[in-house]
Amino acid sequence: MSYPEEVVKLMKDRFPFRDLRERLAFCDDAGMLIRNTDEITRQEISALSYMVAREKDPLHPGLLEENIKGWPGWRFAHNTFDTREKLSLACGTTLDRVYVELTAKMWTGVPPIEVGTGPCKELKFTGDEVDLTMIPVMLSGEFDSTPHFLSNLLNNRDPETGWQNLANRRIHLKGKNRGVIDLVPGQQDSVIFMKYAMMGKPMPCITMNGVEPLTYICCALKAPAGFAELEFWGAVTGRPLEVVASETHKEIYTPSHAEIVLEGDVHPWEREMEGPFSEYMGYYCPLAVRIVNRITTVTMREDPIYYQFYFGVTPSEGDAIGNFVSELAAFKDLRDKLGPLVTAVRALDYGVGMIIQVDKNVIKGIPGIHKHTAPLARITMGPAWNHVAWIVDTDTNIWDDRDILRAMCHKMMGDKDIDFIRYSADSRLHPAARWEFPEDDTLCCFTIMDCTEPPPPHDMWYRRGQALPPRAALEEMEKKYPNIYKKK
Amino acid sequence: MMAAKFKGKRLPIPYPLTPERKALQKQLENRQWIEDNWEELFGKYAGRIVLVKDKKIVEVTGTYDDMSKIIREKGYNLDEVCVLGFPPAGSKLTVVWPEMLPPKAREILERKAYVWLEHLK
Repeated sequence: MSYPEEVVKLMKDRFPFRDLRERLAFCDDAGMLIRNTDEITRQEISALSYMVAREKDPLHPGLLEENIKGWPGWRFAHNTFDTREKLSLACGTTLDRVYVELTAKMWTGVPPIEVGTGPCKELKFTGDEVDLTMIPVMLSGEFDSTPHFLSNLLNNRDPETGWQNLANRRIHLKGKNRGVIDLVPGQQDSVIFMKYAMMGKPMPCITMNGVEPLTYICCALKAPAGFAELEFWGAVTGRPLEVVASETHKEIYTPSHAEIVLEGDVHPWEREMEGPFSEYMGYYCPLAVRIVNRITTVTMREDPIYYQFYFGVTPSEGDAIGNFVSELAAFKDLRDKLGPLVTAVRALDYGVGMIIQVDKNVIKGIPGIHKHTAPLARITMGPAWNHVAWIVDTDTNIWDDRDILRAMCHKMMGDKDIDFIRYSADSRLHPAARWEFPEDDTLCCFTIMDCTEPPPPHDMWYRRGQALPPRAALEEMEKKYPNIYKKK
Repeated sequence: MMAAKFKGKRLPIPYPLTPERKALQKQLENRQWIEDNWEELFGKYAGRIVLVKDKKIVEVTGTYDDMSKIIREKGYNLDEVCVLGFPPAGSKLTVVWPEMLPPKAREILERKAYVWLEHLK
């Protein structure tokens, strides 16, 4: 993908974006934002978000809804970072460089600086004033039984070490001052919650909404335990993030420019039902009994902009950011462990599937080495949901679906190129899970498909070789007519 | 400079309780009503999709697609109703960290969702 020069120049002038508004102003000036002043309902926003994510142009405009029916004065932004290309711009670079540049900075950090107060504290609601229905939270799917906050960053602090962890978690709106949080057992925030539970104490829990996309990326990254994600924001931008102490839990910090901050606690024993919800695999998740977040204080900006991703059938904005952070983390781990063998990683559907591109010259030196990439990447991407991997070589453009399908057609033979790890971890949400054997319904068969060029003697130079037009002519034509070849 | 483009007007406090917000509050109440009466409703509607309006079950279907059709035909406002698919009888559903539940909390949960907890016994 080639970016328009003026967009790259504008991004370089403006980066880093201090808050969501600076980012939206950039999008506006770069032709990547439409301000919609027509009256719109929350259901219609969900539909628009679904439709916009299907736009072919990777730099298609996102939307700022300025007239939400029933929520006068509120603005609702969506789809402003729903492609890898837009997410790369949010990191201050372009797609061709983002994986190398960001992984080189992992896991270094510049600590945030505390400022006395910030825009996120312009309005404050406590006690009976707290009413979460004042926020235009949308239903993603038609049958989400009540709305979910879907782009809130959950902020909690390890009671033993003081480490502040952030993660992107959904919160099911259940009442004026309470929500139900979906914590995934085994992940860092749930480990912290368990520590509070073992102590019999409520866990302080601060969630924030409406930050610029790099903060979302930093928080969603699968960073090592003990690493403060907000420091990575500083490493990428080269300057510290401004944070403020929360009103109710002074030891927890939030970005000072967040649009909305919800402060509260999670009691160790309280549980409520959550779901149905439009899940990542494109179907509704079943009901579950989950932990309850009681909100005691809400602070926000005077003229808040609410941000929400659409979830459900992909492609979606939630899918885009989930894939992007999975790719970054897996690329980092694979390069650390296997060196130049791995040249790119692409995640599909929130990391449920992944495509790993390997250097075919390295495979020739150590045949079979490439198969080790898949289980390794799976550990990083999420062993609880990732269940299929395709390995392609450098002759295949990993970002081009047609190329991937071609590799599957021509470079894979079922009986020798497909490997399984049977009865490995998976989510019970998997539509193809073994529902007929209830005791196995959280187990899957992890599948690895090797779609790389077959080993020698297949590739002897006088017999084989990629059938391409004369290279000098191709290069010349690509220069002369750049839009014909690259406009896919 | 740039951020100024996105300034808006200060809103009245408290935020206005519009009909749409009232509808959302009704929806939350409907959901609460389902959970308060879980045991009885589950007994009747296991494996079915229900639409709740004003704390009453007004539509029952077998699939989400059928419910979608009814919602469109009858013009229900999705903001003020609550749709919920009851699990089939005997199905095993998730309880997050059941081992962490103290006996009292477990007792409350079992009253609400007794079937869900069967596999824990």
